[in-house]
Amino acid sequence: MRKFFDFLALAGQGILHRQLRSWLTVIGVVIGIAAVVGLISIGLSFEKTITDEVSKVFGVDTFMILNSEVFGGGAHGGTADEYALDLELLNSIEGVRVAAAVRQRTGFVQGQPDAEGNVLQGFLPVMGLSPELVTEFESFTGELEVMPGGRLIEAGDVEVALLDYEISRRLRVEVGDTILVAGDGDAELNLTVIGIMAPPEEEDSGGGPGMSFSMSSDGDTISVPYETMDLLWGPADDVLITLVRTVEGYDVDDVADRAEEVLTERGSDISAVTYSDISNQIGQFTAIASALLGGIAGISLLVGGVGVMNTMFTSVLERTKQIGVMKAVGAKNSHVWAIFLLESGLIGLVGGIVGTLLGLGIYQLGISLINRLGSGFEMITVISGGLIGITLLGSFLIGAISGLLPAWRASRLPVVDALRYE
Amino acid sequence: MAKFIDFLGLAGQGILHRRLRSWLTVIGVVIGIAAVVGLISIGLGFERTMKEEVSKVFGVDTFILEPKDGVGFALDFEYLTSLDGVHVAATIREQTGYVQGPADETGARAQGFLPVLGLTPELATGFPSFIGEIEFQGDGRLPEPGEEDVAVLGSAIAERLDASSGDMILVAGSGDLELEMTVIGVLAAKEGEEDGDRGMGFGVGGPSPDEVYIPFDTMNALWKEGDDLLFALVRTDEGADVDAVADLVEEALEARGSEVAAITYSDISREIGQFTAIASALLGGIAGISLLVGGVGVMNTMFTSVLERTKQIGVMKAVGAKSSHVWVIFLLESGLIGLVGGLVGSGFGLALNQVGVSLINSLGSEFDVSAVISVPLLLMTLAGSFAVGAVAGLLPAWRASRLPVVDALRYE
Repeated sequence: MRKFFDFLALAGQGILHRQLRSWLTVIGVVIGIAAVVGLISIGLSFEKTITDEVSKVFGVDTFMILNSEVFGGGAHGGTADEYALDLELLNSIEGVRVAAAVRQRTGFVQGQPDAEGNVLQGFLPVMGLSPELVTEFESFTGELEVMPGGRLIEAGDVEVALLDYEISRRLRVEVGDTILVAGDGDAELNLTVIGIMAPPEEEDSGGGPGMSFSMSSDGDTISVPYETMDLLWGPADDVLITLVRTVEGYDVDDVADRAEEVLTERGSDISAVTYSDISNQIGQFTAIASALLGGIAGISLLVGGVGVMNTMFTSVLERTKQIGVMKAVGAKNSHVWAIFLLESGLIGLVGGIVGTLLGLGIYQLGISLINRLGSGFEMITVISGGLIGITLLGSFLIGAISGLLPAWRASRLPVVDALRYE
Repeated sequence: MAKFIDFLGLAGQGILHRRLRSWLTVIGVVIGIAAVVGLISIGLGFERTMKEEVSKVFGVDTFILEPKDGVGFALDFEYLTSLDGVHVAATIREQTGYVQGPADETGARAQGFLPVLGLTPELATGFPSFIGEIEFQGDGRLPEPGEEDVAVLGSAIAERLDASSGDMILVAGSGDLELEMTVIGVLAAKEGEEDGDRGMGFGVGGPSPDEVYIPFDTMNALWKEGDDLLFALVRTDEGADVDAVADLVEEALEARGSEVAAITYSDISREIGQFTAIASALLGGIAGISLLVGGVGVMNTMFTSVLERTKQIGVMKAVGAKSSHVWVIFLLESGLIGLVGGLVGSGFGLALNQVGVSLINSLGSEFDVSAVISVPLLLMTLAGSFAVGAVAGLLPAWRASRLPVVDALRYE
């Protein structure tokens, strides 16, 4: 151990004695490390920010059921994102506390006659919502605002409808009026309008960020209770999304797997998506992006390493005589080798420390710049101890590897020639 | 001039005398230049490939009319075709219609709400590059000009409605309007993912298995004329300037109240260029950091070089070299290091580009990315690499030029 410290001191002296050259070499490493640390930190920040937003929506106990094509498959197409669902079966699965589903159809809808007795009618999207959707899953739907005098769909409602603002004007109906909705075959129902959604404010239509699920996107939808859809169109084979909250104490991934299994057996073409599924996907994506950018920035570390090698060759050359003396008084080849290897590793490490600090500084600047530009989300600053540890270790290794060849050359110098060298 | 060559000779000797160190410095620059050249070349390759694909579809004489608000627009089709410079035009509109299939043995009819697209016959005859090849099951065909009350079904729709060529289907439009139509063709089912994805966007693309296609005029009979057109394609008369005609058409239609934007090939290629330029600048910039590191390496080598040749500098000055001569010699030396690095690095970069492109192509997408060798990029890279070297050498050269003669001569 004692010997190691002596070697370290010798290596340090080697660096300090040629200040300008050493510092320039260190600066090369600093730039490379700063770029890599800065870019990867920004990538980590994005990942953390996105997964945090998703977890705010999901909580710890909720999962979604989507058509198996929608999540992961990537292919969105036509009617492929709908699926059949037995909601009662789902609710009876062990671990499921409450489930809410959304189904959608195009229905023929008649509004109220105007002054001349013309009845406005047309094909409109009709959505069936479980009342639990509003009461239990507010983080998914966002805040729903109803125009004064109206209310949302509640448990036990049957022949009622909730209209988007835009469509209520087109159909000329108000709260308390009835609309006629025709379903499959001869099924048709007179539904009482119980509420009209407040028109969405521009730009900010609530809903889960990135979750592509908001209830009133185009202001064109008629919402009815989920059971009412059964009366009009029969059992559900047109479900868009189902949200499931698990009983406290159950593992949400386990319950999701069980639900997926049971429902798939019944012929539903679905997959259950939990928070960990989504955060895995986000993690994969950001990892690829970070690896690409970090890799390109890492090229500069390669260049920095070449610089270290260059400096070390010069250093060995300049100290040929010193090496000769060391050997003459009993230093072994391996000692010389270790001293030079430590020296170049130290150059790398010093570059790594300064570069990490600089990189974190750049990263802070970048984050505040991104937040200033504004995007709805506040980016979270992530300072990853793991990243810093790996960076410092890596920078020492880069230095040491660059020094391998020069140190080997130094260790093989014949004593006599070295002593004679001017 | 002779002096310049002498300086160059001196600078070159300076490099060659310290081979190992110089070459390591050059390698640093080489790596940086190769990364920048490789990445930007791949970016240029993508840009070229995308533009070529777009131009294959557009030709030199076609433009698109799109709704300004992204939803749909109203259009007086007759008026459009009558405009100056318009050779042929085609358009398409979409509605959801209630469709009944033919009755089966038990008399039951499959029915449902389906997307119905109304197309002018010119779309298939005049603009095959936009919609791709259309294949039918058996002996189907497309509607001919003037033909009404006929329908072509997507493969999935035909299956759901249990209809084939020759059957009658019923399509209900707005209000009480409904029409019986003869099915004249069923589209061949396509393999897997291919449907509608020609990478072009614009809502153009090939036919989909999930739609019912009817003639534009029949569509207007069912839903009246509306403001729900998806897009229109216009081919200009030969010899006419497509951008000028596009502007003219846009203006004329806007005066009639159509909210349309005319998009020509040059509009699209400009957008592609902007996008790839940003991506290339980002990646090239990050790779450029390694050039900075390489430059620091050059500076380091030059400082060492000045230090080692202190005595030589003293001798040069003693026999009459001015400070500015010394300065130029060292500046040239560091510029040369940069330039050599740039030359070798460009070579490596182009090789990287080739490898990268063939890797991308072997991963397979429908498009072959072309390997672009851009002469301006190479020239700029060489000039830039010399500049990087020279800038890195400024300080060392300045220090060399300011050495006092006596001290320099005495230096050991």
